[in-house]
Amino acid sequence: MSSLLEQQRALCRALLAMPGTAEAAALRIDGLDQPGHARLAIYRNTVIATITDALRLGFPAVLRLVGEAYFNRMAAQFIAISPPDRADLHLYGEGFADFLQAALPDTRLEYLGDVARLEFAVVQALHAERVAALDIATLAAMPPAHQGDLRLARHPALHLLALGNAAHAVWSAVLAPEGEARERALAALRPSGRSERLAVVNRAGAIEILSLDAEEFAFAQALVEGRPLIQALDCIAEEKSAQTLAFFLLQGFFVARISA
Amino acid sequence: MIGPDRACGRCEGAIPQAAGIGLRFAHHRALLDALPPIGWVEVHSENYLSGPALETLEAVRCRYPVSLHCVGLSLGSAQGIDADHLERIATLCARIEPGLVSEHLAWGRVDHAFLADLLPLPLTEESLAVVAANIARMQDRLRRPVLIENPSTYVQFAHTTIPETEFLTHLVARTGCGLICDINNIVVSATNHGWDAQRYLQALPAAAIGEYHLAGHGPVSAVLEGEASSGMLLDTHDRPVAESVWSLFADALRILGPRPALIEWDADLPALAVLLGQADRAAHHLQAVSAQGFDVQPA
Repeated sequence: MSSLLEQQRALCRALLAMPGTAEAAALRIDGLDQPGHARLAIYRNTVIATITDALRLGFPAVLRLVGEAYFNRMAAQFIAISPPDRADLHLYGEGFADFLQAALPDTRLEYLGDVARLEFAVVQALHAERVAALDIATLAAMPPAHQGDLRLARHPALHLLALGNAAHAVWSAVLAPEGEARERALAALRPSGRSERLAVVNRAGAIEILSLDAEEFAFAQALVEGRPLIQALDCIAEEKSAQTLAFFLLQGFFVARISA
Repeated sequence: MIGPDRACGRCEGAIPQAAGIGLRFAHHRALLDALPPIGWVEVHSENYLSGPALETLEAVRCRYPVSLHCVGLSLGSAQGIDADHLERIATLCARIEPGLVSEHLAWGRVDHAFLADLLPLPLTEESLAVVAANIARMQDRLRRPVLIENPSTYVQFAHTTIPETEFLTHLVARTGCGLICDINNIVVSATNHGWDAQRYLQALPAAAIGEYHLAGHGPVSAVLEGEASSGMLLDTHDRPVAESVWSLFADALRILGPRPALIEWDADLPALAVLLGQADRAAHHLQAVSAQGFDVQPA
C-alpha cells in the first residue's frame, strides 16, 4: 500500500486529468475498487466546478465574450495544467490570459488575452493589501536636495499594463448593463491592433483604469522599477514631468522605498 | 441576538446556543439592511481574506457573533498545512474575533496544487498522526481550540482501519479540539456507505460537540449516472434541509444535547427570508430540547 502522500498525489492527478484521456484511464488509486474509481467523478465535478466558478468571477468579460460552453472548456484545460496554488481562489487566474491567447482557434478575438490581462489586474487591485500611498505632501516635505535620489516602489494595488489591443473599451462595453447603449458601444468597437497603456488602481475600494501615453507609462514604469526619481525623469518631457508625477501621487501609484 | 453597532462597540462574540445562518455574498446587503434577529452567522473564512468582502464582514461582526468556517487549510494533507494560508487565517481571526473557528476532516492540497474540495482520507494510523499534527499546528497558531467537521464522503478506502467516529474521537483526545456534528453529512455518508446514522451519533463524544450543521442534499445521479452511484446522495447545500436531516437532528439533540445550530445554503441561494425560516425551524428544535433540561454541556 502506498503512503498517504503518494496516494494524495495519485488522487490529485486523477482529479485533474481530462476525462476520456489515456492518462485518466490509466490512473489507479490504492484502496478503491472499480465503483470507487467511478465515484471519483463526483469529486472531479466539484473540483472543476468550484475552480471554474472562481475563474468566472474573476474574468466576467472573457466569459461574456466567448460564452459559457467555450469558457468552461478552456477553464477545465487551464485548471488541469495550472491548478490553484493557494486556497484564496479570488486571486486564481495568473497565466489564464496567456493560456487563452495561445488556445484561440483563430484571430476573431485576438484581443481576448488582453481583456483577460486587464481583468486579472482588476482582481489583483481589488484584493491588494490596503496600505497608505505616498502622497504629495510627504514628498514635498523632503529636502529638495534629496528628492532626486528618492526611489519609489509600486503600491500593491497598482498594475501597469502595456496591451497590444484596446482591451479597456471592450471590457467596459461588454460589462455594461444590457440595452441599446451597450449594443451601440459593442458595434463601434475596433479593438484589434490598437495598443494601449493602462494603470489599474484601487482608490478606497473603487477600481479605476487610467489611460497613459507612452511617456507617462515609461515614467511610471521606471519609478516602480525603483530607479531614482532623477533618472526616471529622463523618460518624460520636462514640461510634463511635475504635473505627471503629481497625478501619479494623487492616484496612489507608489509607496516610498528608499529615501536618500 | 443582535448586539451593538461596531461604530459604538463590537457586540459580544461568543456563539450562543441558538440557530445561525451561513452568510454568503448575495445576502450581505439584505442582512445588514434588515438586521434580522438571528443568533449568529458563519462564513467561509477563505472568502473574506481580502477585498471588499472583508470590510462587509467587519460590519456584520458589529451586530452578530461570527463563526469562521475554514475550507482551505487541508488538515488531512500529508505534507502539512500551508504556512502562508494559516497566517492569513490568523490575521482574519485577529481582525474579526470569531466566537468559533472550524475546519474539516478532509484534505485538498498536495505539492502546491489546491483542489478546492473536501477530499476523503483513508482512516488509518498514518492519517490520524497527520491530521492530529495539523490540527495541533492550527490551534497553536490561532491560540484556541478549533472544531473539526465530519465530512460527506462518496468513496471508502479498503485500507481504512478506524471507523470515522472513532477517528474523530481520537482527534479530540490527542489535540483537545472540538467537533462540528454535521447532521446532513451523516445522512449523506450513511446513505452512501450503508452506515447506521443512529449508531454514528451514539458513537460521537458528546462533550466535544460544539456546533451542529444542517443543510440540503440531492441525488448523485444529477451529476453522475450509472450503477456505481445508484442511490447515493450528494452534499449539495442548494435546497432546504431534508426531512431526514431534521429527523436525525431531533435525535442528535436527544442523544448529544443542544448546541449552536447552523443552516448552510451555498448554491441556488433563496431570498434571505427563506434561510431565516429554516433557522426558525432549527431554533424550535433547540428550544424544545432546552425546555426538557438536557444537561450535557460542550467541553
